Amino acid sequence: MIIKDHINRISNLIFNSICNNPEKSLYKAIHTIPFFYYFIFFHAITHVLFAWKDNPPFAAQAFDPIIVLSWAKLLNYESVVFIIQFGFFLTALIGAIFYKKTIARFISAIGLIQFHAFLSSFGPVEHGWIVWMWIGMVFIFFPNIWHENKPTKTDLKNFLLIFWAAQFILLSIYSLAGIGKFFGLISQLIYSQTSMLSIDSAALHITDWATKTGYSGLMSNFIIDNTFIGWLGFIGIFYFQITSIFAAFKPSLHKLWGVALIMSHIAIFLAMGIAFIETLFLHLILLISSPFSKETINIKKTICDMPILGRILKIPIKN
Amino acid sequence: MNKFIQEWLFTIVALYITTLFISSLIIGLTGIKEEPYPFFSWFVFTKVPEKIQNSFQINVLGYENNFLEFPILLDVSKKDLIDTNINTPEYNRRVSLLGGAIKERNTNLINQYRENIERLFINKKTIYEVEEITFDPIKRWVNGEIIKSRALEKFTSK
Repeated sequence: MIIKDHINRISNLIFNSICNNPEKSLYKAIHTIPFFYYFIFFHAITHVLFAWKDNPPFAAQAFDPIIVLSWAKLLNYESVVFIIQFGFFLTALIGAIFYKKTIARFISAIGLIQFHAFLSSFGPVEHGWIVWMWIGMVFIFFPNIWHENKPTKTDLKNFLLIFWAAQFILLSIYSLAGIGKFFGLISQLIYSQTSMLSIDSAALHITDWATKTGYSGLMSNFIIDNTFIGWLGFIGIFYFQITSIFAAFKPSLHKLWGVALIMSHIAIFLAMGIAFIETLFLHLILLISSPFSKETINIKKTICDMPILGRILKIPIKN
Repeated sequence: MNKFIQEWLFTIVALYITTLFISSLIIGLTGIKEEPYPFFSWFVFTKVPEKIQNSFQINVLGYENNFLEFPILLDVSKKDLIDTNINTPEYNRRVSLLGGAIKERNTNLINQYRENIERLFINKKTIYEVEEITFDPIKRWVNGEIIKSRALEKFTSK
């Protein structure tokens, strides 16, 4: 009971800080959420049902079903691929049409879990769709207030906090990436190794990745010839990553972080050839279309609210 | 049931997102190589690669009893000489293993890794050598420059 009381207190604090107009936010959230399920359905058709038709993406010899996919051990590989293809398509279709029903969101989440489990059964945990899976599980719990003109305060608060929880999950993965880089920086400074502070750091990442994997980006050569520009970009990406979790609590930063993280992914694709297509759409749905941020952007407030940089830049802007 | 869910909903969600975050952080900080499903640490590209690196490479010296005028790297020779299907990460991993085994003078492992490489990547009778190289990755990218190289051992594939 004590934990619940504390969490309720925290939830009220979060809700009051992120949501100025709950009814308006609810309206925006209700009209944004379906796109989560539409994208899953779109991907299920284009990248799974059609694309895997003659050419499943992975070799049967490498298939080692993880625990969530234990049923797959009873069948041959081709049958498993067929079930995953059509199962994912059907569950995505149900989610796209009936997303307002809890049972439909539950079925869609099961489809996501099985699809992701399949992708993760060839070695490492797949980390493009894992966030969709985590968010899909949270979205099951939306209160059933899709058609109500005057929902209760509790239901309204819970609905919006679930949406916010999805934003938190998305932004927290970037903070984790930033925290990893921070500890890497400290470790390399301690051992006097080349670190993120070196102007060659971005170029070293690019050449090392290309050597090990054979992948490079359209702008790899440009960045290696202009290491300072690459380094600036790398530091910028690090800043937006490590401070992402703070942006979850500041609606004025949602749109900026959505754009910045999309641009980070594009920069990484151009530099290293690494694509995270699925995650880009989540930024559109959850951040750029955030139901908590205002329609018109106040640039001064946005800059002042930025972690660290906002404090540094506050003085000249206020004057 | 509805009232129960209403009261406990955010508690459940908060515990869920906290578990995800803390589990991922612990996995990242402890450096667990194989992340346990369904967690992922997101600790990627955490350390900048060293400015001076050591590695191994395989040079093709000749094939089917013809010696080449200049050695060619096996993983780039596929278009010219050797009918291979090289998956770069897998190839690099196996060459590193072979190079390491040669340096350790572990005959069993040398034979094992050599057999793997020849089975997977070489389809013609080829004379090749394993070389240890020291390089600056940026300079190597720009103009192929290698600081130092040392031939370790020469083999003829079966």
